[in-house]
Amino acid sequence: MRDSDLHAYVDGQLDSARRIEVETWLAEDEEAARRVDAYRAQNAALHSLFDSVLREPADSRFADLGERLGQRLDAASAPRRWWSQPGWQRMAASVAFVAAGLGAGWLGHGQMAPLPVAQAPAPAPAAPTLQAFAEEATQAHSFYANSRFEVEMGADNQDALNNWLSERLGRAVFAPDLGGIGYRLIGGRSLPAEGGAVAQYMYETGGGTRLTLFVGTPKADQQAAFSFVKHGEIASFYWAEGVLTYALAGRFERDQLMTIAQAVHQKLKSGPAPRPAAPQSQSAPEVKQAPAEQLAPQPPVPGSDQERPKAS
Amino acid sequence: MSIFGIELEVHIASLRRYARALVRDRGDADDLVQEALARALSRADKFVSGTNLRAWLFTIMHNVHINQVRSRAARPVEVAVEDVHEARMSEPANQEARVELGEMLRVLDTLPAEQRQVLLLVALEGLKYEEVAAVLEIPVGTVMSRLSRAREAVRVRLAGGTPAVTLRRVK
Repeated sequence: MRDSDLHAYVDGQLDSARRIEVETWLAEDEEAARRVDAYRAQNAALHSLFDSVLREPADSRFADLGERLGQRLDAASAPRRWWSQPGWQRMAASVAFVAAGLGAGWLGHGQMAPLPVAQAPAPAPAAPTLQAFAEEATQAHSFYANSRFEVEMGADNQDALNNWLSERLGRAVFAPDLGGIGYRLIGGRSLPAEGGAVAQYMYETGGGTRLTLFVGTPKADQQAAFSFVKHGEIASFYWAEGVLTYALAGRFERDQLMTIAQAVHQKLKSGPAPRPAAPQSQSAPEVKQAPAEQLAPQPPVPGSDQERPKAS
Repeated sequence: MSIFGIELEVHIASLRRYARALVRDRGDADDLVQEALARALSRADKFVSGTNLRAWLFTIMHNVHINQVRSRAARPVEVAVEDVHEARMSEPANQEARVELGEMLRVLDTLPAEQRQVLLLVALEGLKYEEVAAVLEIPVGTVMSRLSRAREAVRVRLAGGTPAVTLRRVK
C-alpha cells in the first residue's frame, strides 16, 4: 500500500476496488487510520475557512467578465452553441435563409451569395414549435449527459429537487419514478429558454445508459400527439400535456424510446409517486409487455437501483 | 445565455475561493481573479472545445499569480495579512472551533508556497491530481509528494507535536 493511495482515498480519487483494499488496510493499521482522520479534518477546516467566499454576493465585474468570456468561448466552439439563440429565432433565421436562398436561386449553382440573415427584418415572435423544443432537448441531452456537471441538483432529496424546478418554471413539475423500467433519477438542472426556464431531469440505468426528460412551457399552437425526432444519435419523443411540454431524449432507436416514452407518459398522468417505495402496480401496461432487452444494453433489474448509492 | 454560463459561474466561484485562500486579502484575491478572467477572455479562442475548462482557468490564474508574486517581490512592504484576514473571517460557532481554524490558517501560512498551492487545489477545490499537475505544470508524482509533505506538516503542527518521526508505509 502506497502513501499516495491514502491521499487518493481521502480525496475520493480511487476506483471502488482500490477503495475497498485501502479500507481493509485501514482497519488493521491504526497509524494510517489516524492520518486519514487528520487529513479529512484538514479538508473540513479549509472548507470552514474559505467556503464563505462562495456565499459572498458576486462582484458585478465577475458577472460581466464571465458573460463576455462565455460568449467568446461559445464563438470559439460554435457547434456546441445551442441555446445562445432561442429556438424561434433560429427557426426564423433558417426560414429567412431558405427564403433568401429561393430568391437568390438565379445566381446559379456553386455561387453562394452572402445571405443577410442578420439584417432580415425581425420576425414576429412566432410561437415556438414543439419540434424546436424537442431539438433543444436533444442538444441539451448530448451536452449534459456526458458532462462533469451532469446535474445542478442531485436526487438525494427529490422533494427539494421538484420544488426547486417548479419554482424555476413557475409550474408544478415532478420527476416521474422510472424505477419500474430500470431508470434511476440522478438529479436535474434548469436551463434558460425562450419564454422561461426549462427543467431537465436526468436518469440512468445500472448499465450507465442515460435518459433525460425535458420539461418546459413553450407556448406552442400544437396539440399533444406523440411525435418523434432524431438529431444525430440523439432521439426524442415529445408531447404536450396541458401547459407543459415534455421531450424525452437519449441515444436510442425509435422503438426503444417509444416504449420508454409510454411508460413516462403513464407515470406523469398518475402524478408524483409516493416515496420511498413506488408500488409496482402503477406501472403502465405497455411497460410490462415490453421485453427488458429493448430498454437498455444491460437489462435493468426493476427496483435494484434503489439500493445503489446516489451519484453525487 | 452562454452554453458555458452555468459552468463558468461554478468555476469563477471556485477561482475566487482559491484566490482568497492563496493571497488572503479580499481585494488582492479579487484582483487576481479579475486579471485571470481578463486574460482568459483575451485568449478564449485558444480554448479547445471539449477539454477541461476548469483546469484551463486555474492554469491561467496560476500564471497570473506567479507574475504578480514576482513583481511584488520588488516592492517593499506587504500588509500584515494575518491581522487583516482574522477580522474578516466569518464567525465560527464556538470558541473551540475558532481556535482550531485560526491554527489551521496559521499553519497554512508556514507551508512553502508550492505545497500550499497543491494542498489548496486538492483539498479545497477538489481538483484531480492530474488536473493539479496540468495547472502547475509539474509531474503527477511531484503533486503527490508535495501533497503528502503538506498534509503531514499540517498534521504534526496542529497536533502541537515536534516534527519527529512520522511512520509512513512505503510498500
